[in-house]
Amino acid sequence: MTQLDMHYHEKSAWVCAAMTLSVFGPYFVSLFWWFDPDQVRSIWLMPPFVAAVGLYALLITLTHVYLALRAPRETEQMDERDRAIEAKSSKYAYGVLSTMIGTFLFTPTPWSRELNFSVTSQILLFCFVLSELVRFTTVAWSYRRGV
Amino acid sequence: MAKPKVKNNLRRLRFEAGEMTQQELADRVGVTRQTVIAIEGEKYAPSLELAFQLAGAFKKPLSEVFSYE
Repeated sequence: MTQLDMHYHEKSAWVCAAMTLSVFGPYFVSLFWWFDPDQVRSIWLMPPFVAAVGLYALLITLTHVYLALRAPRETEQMDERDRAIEAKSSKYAYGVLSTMIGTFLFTPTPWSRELNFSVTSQILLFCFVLSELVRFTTVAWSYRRGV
Repeated sequence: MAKPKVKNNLRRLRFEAGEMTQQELADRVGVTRQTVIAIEGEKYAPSLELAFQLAGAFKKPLSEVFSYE
């Protein structure tokens, strides 16, 4: 077996992790690093948000269609090992999500002094995206290193 | 306390069974080839049900296919 002999589900995890980092990494860096809280409140966040989500959905769809066309039989197969890895990754992702949201609620941030819907929604989106990144990397790691 | 390990003789048994391929074994027990690879490489410990199915594929008792240390 070569090191790159991957099942569809493993390839999917690698692709999702890479796309999440590629799209939402620059998005959140630009949002939280380059804009001060006053500007984050005042700028119109919908266009960049819609662009990021739209780009992510398009890239994910295209890459998964490509992967599925290459190995159509594998897309339907999910055995006990796949389910065990999925359960483990979900557990870790949920732990990260709940920890981050709990931390956000009780920890002062640069934006805490005047939180509004836009800032709060972006922080919660960041928590969700990070937890999904944990899920994808846990799946990829578990396939390579074992459950 | 060391992490318990489940060892197996799948690779040897496949060879003895007329050089059965990993894909053939996977098809017999209803898992993916990558899962068979992971079991042989001791990166995944199968469930009891799957362990019995693997032993049954070779018509061997469970203790001859798997061991626990």
